[in-house]
Amino acid sequence: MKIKLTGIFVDDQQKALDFYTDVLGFVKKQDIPVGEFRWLSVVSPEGGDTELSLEPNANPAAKTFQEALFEQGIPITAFEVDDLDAEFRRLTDLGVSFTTEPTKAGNVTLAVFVDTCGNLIQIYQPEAG
Amino acid sequence: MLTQDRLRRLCRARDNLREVGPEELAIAEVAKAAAMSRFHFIRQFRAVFGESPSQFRTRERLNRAKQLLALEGASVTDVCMAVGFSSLGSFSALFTRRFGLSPSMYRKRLAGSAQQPKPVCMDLLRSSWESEPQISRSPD
Repeated sequence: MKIKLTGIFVDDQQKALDFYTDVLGFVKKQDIPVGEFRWLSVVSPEGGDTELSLEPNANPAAKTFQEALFEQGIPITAFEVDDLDAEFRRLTDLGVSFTTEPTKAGNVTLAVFVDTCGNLIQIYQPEAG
Repeated sequence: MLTQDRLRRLCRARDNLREVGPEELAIAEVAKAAAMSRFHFIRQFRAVFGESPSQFRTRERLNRAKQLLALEGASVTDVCMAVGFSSLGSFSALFTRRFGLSPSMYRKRLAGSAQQPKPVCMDLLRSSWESEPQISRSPD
């Protein structure tokens, strides 16, 4: 069993695609019309083959879940980075809002930012060695 | 840095902006309720939600209009006014741009699909919309 696909809910798929590609730097993988929505996914250009699906939060249950986590300050998912401080600076320069600055937590350093689509996202850098 | 308190206030402001129609608050009032200056509020809102408060409100109006168009009875003009637009032309243009077809075409398409058997949950959804208080137009 492998984890090849995971997903997050977003409040607007086009806005999400813009943020996850133009700001975060991911690459669009799937973009297939499905009724009024899209089967939309991105992948990391740095390797790995796990797709991240950007799913519409049109289902009221999804919206409630997403908004509750957001308001409580809980990240919906986490991405690993090689250099957290550099990524923090890069994203801050692009206007991304952080709720947590780079902070040591156990054997990782982490930070949390807003993805503009209704989610908080954690980025972390594992301890060297 | 975006504090938890500020994030919550922005979420409350987003909820206020969802209240479209005659009772909706002006952007300045929403900012005041969030304890921010108008300028700072607009900047912070955009940074957190990826669009300006006005853009967010327009999107909410259009989504609400889509729901109302699914109901029988209200004309396209009624729906336009009920969600806070003062111009039918603007409403129709924005609706078409967002959903790819005009409000009247959207309603016709719904009417066509209504000929098909539909699950009971659609009737429940419809009755919940119909039980909401009637809203009328207010100036922008």
